[in-house]
Amino acid sequence: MDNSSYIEKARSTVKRNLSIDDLIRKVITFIDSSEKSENTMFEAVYDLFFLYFPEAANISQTKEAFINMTVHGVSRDEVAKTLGMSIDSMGYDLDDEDLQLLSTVVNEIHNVHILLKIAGERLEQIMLANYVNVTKVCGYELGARLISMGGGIKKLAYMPSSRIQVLGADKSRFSQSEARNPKYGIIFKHEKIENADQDLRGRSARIIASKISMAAKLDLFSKKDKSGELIADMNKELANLKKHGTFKRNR
Amino acid sequence: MELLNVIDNVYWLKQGRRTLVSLNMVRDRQVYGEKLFDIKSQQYREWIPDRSKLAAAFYKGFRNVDIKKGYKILYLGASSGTTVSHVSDIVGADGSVYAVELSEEMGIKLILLAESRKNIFPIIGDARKVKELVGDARNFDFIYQDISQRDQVDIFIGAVQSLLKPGKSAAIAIKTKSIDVRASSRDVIDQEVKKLGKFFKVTASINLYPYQKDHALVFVTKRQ
Repeated sequence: MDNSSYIEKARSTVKRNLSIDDLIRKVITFIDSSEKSENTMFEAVYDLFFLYFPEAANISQTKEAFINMTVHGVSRDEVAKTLGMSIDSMGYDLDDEDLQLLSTVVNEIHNVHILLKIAGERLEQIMLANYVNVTKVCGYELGARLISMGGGIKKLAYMPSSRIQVLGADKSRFSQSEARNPKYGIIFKHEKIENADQDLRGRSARIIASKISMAAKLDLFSKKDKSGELIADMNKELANLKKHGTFKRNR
Repeated sequence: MELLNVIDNVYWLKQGRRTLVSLNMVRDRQVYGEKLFDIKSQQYREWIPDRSKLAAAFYKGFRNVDIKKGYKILYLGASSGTTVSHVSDIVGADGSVYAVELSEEMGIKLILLAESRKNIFPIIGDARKVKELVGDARNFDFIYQDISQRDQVDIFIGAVQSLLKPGKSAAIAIKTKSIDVRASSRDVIDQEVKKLGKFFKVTASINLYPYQKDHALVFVTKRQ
């Protein structure tokens, strides 16, 4: 018996079932791993640069500051010019070959930085084109993470909002030592929750999860942009919560 | 080097430590980065117990696996086709392996494998609806199931009752942590074996530690 008809059928099923959600998941994973490798590389390069020019390195300790500092070159002349400081240094004088190596690695970090920026922009485009309500309610990155963690927009839309609220908090949700359920999972990255008062965060998460749930349903079924209403509703309920400590609308 | 037959086309390769190998159906072709051995004009592939639960059962001392040359086999939860490739080695060109997999991404690898091995019939779909998926194919000689779902035992019972030939045997790889995270592995296995015992004759229940953590392979026989 020949298996070619089965192969043909399976191939068409795969082709039909792959969707934009798979692309979103891959892009998010790609961004995460690139960010991780960028950080590891930065730490090593920073140490090397510290040996060479500790004065400048001490000023720019974060990754962004380091990238800005080395934008014109890595030698003492160029860095001192960029920062507007003295070229005098107590650091070890590197040879030209070593400087060449340093500049190559710094270049690599610059490239990864640009790559991440491009990937983020592209992800935002994809999210806005396909899931406009979710993107506007919770931002493109969180939206993409929720879609990839929930297993696609369809599953996310059918999910109860309490489930969306604790998506990504599986460890504490299923742990035996913690008696209570977690208040929030990945949704904590939402600026409205991160910046909320400590004792209102759990309840804010509940409001925002419910709005994301509605947005996902809108994106799946009607595909109309009603994010304005949703955001206005959300802000009203959050303001109520801050005022009265509860989010019931008629209060 | 010495070859000891276990079942059809599967051998223990003795050179110091023993290694489980299966006769390679497609020469010089690796599936998942396993080692190849050339012995007396035949080629054998290593069957790694850390990657495949069926291989782990052999390493744990079980050898009454009822898979033979020319058998028609239903494989639920084929994934990327690691174990499927070895099962396809065993049944040979006259047999057939119907491999069901839900995930598209894993399915792609399975389909690519099936293109080089003519006895694998890939099916992308949910194992719960296996009766509709396999079409006219009925009366399988062996059913193997390896899906990590809470209701995996119920799915297995349904598939065996409707699709397996009476008197033939089947195997299920139970992942205890997907049935109950909090309960101990042994309790879950006991409970599921009891459930299986109501419908079939349970011939063996093998805990796959240390090759696979929290997994058990249970063999059952369908009554005549």
